Amino acid sequence: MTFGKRVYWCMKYSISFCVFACFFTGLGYAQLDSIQKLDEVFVVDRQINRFSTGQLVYTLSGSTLQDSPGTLTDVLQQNTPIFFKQNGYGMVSSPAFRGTTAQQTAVVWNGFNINSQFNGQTDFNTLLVDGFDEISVRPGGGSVVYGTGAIGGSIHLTNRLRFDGETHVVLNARLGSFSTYQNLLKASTSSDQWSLSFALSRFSSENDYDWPGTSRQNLNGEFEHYNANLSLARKLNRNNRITYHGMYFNGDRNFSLLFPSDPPSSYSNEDHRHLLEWESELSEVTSVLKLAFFEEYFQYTPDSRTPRPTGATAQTALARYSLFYSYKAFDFNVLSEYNYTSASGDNVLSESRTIASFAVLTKHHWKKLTSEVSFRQEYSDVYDSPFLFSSGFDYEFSERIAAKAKVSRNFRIPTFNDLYWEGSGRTDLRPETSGQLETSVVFSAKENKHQLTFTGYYNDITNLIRWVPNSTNIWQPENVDEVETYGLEAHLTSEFVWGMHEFNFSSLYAYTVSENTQTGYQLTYVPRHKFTNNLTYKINRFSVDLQNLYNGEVFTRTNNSPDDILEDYLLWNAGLSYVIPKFQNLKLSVQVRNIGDVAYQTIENRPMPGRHFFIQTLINF
Amino acid sequence: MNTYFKFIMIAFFALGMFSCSNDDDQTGPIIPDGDYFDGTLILNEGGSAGGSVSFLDSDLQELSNSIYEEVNPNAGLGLYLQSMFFADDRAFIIANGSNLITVVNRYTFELLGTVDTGLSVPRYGTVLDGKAYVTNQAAFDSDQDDYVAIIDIETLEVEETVLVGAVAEHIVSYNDDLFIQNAAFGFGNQISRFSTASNSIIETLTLAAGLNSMQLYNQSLYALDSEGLKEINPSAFTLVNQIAKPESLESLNNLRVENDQFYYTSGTAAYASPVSATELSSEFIFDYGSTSTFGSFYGFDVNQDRIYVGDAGDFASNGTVLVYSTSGELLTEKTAGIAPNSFYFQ
Repeated sequence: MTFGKRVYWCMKYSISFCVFACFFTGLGYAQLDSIQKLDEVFVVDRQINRFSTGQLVYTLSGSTLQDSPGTLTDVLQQNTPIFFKQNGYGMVSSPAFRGTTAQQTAVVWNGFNINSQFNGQTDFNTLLVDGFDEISVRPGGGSVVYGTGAIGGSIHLTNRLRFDGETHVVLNARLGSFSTYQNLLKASTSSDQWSLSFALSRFSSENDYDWPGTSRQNLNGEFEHYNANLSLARKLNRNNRITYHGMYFNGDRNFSLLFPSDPPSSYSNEDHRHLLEWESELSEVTSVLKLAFFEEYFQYTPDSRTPRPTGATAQTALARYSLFYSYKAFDFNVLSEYNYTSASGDNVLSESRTIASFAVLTKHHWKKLTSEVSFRQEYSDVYDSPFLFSSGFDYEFSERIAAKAKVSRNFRIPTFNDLYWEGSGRTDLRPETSGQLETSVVFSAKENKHQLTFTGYYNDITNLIRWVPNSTNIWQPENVDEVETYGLEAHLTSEFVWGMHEFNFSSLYAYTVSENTQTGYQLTYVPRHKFTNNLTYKINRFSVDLQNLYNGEVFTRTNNSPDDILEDYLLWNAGLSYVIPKFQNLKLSVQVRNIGDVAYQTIENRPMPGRHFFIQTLINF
Repeated sequence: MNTYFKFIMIAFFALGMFSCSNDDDQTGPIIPDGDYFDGTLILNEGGSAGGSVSFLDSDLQELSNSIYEEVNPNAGLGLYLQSMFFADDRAFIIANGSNLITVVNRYTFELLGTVDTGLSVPRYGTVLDGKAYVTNQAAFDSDQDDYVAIIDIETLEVEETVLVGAVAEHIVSYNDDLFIQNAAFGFGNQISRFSTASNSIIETLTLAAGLNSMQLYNQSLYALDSEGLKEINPSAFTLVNQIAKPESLESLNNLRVENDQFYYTSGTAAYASPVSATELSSEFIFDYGSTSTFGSFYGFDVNQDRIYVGDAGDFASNGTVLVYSTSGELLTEKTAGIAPNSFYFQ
């Protein structure tokens, strides 16, 4: 059928996304007039809202994403407890979520884990998220649903589709210090039968900022990234719907130099991901079949003057079948998945891996208590997987106080690098496993206009894979480490309206202990304290934003040597916006970041930019 | 304060005695200025944030870390410090990851200049007649592009580069010639002779596989390979003697010759045998039982009856420096920077 062909065409020529999508939007405009309004929004990740019992989920809206300059790192470091270490601005960015390692945060795109097959992590500076409709952050374990790496927590990139007959277009252009440009074109249109949405983003910078407090400049740090999203859905009849989501990313980046005489290196990557879903509502059961195909490719050039690039590519084909069934106070979800991944590259053996997994998720409502019990078992042709489970409870004491608790077992599987790196990889590795407990109290007032939450957690992680040199100086992965993390998170959101004055305030504090249980030392690059605040004040067409971010000191040595730390820092950002209603609600903004021109680093000897500026124009119609 | 006062007094009297016993008006030995003239420089290879130099005083009491940054704030020595060589009171510090040689006063550590062009993964250097000769490994996947950079030590410019035709690692000078070890990371079996008259490789001598260290001592060039110890006549450039490796030891590394003794390591133990011996000892002086698989004996040297050991641990925490007497007694243990790999005696 034609639709299938189009999808196929699109998968094959993902670069042509934009032409294809623009053509479709043109059609969309013409058909707008006579459609009745139906407010029906849907996402293909059904589990995040239905099966997060016992956990908190924070959501960042599309407009927050559009108002934040930069990459996913910039968005999340201001709005979540996650600490990011960056090799200088825009360079490799790794998360430490609740004190865990970079591979223990899962990035989930429309329900599918997209961490790299090679190193098991996501470089948060290679994701442009202003084109997404929503980002959800779910601290704590989630391997039962989202698989490998959901130990510290998971980040969910979500596209939403509507059948409401409306057309929306967003045009955003931002210009900033160090020749930084960021652009977004996003459009969506629908009828009651079909829906289309697409987004194109671009982000580039010379990134040649002065290193604060020194006479040096950031050298060889320029980058240029493109991202495209395309989503399409069509209702075949009353009970059947087909949805496609696609994303394409293309990034070119140089890696900044520590010393001017270092060899200039560069990195490029290209990823595309496609997902086709068929949802069918049978009498009481919803059946969902998903087929997905992901490809990741990277190329690294150690010295651009004498280029000898090395690279690798991995393809993943996935089929997932789920059944959702509600019976009285019960919600059930049975899930089975087949995952085939093959990889090849200059340093990785050409190998493949097959994983089959099965999961059962059960939720029950009884008066004020919601409880959930879920299980997952994976079978791989390479290593043995542990039995995973999670059990969560939500209890509403009153409208004002609720409590949550969750216990779960999660894992992180060995990656292709761990298993098949030429001369080093080992297929006798075991997955990392984590047993964890968490509990939260939620205080709400005035229909959730004010909300305060406290969460305590404990996480015991064993069999951590670390690369260590053997006696012949060959670095090999080993299941050597054991880590215990525990901490406290507090989160406050508040909304006041006082005549014409509107205030929005959010505040977040995280206390994190992450100890290697064999040595008793705190893991490197995990701050004990992180504190952020956001205040927005709106009056008429003006709005003012004020943000700050405090990161406590971090150790840079595994033996916690007190002389080898990165000092704590406090950064302030501010923004001012003005909306012109007569001109399609054109929003003009000015932003200043790192107002205090603070010299800070998130990785030793990798200075971050001082005070810098952005101007932004955004049209929403 | 009190100790310092006593020291001054002792020095005063000693000087007095010295001048009394010496009637011909000669001045005493010149004691150079600088905080780092009396002790040992320790080179710390460093991690991805750059390397550093530590200083251990001659009493083995105090170890100061990052002495270069102490003297030259907001400066760094580069990525992966490989080695250091000297010309009079100047020290040349080689950073192989940054293609950089930093030149400092060896006693004050004040920055004098840098060599930042013409290098490509520089490894070791030596000075002869106003020129520094520095081996460069260039691309790691090829040993045919390895070269020697010839640097004018006054202008700090690379004047000429000479391809070696094999891996270029350790380099030592003997009369007008240089000997280059064509073996690194446990691979390779040759030593090349480089003539500074013609600036070319003139001869190559093949030893056994696993050649890992060499040292000139008393008109002989000694080297360690997988078979054992080799003695080479540096003038004729011929093998004159060899002593087999003790069968009980798996491999020998880190050859040093000091005070008519060979010193070498195997596993986590250090050994010694007299230069005149006909077989090598397999009884260790000490075994320091390092838990670091690749970082044990990451640095090793012998000077004035003391054995210096650098242990790199997990390469992500600060390494340890241990000093032993030549009879195996532990004299001190100190924490240095990341991956201490070599020692230089002032």
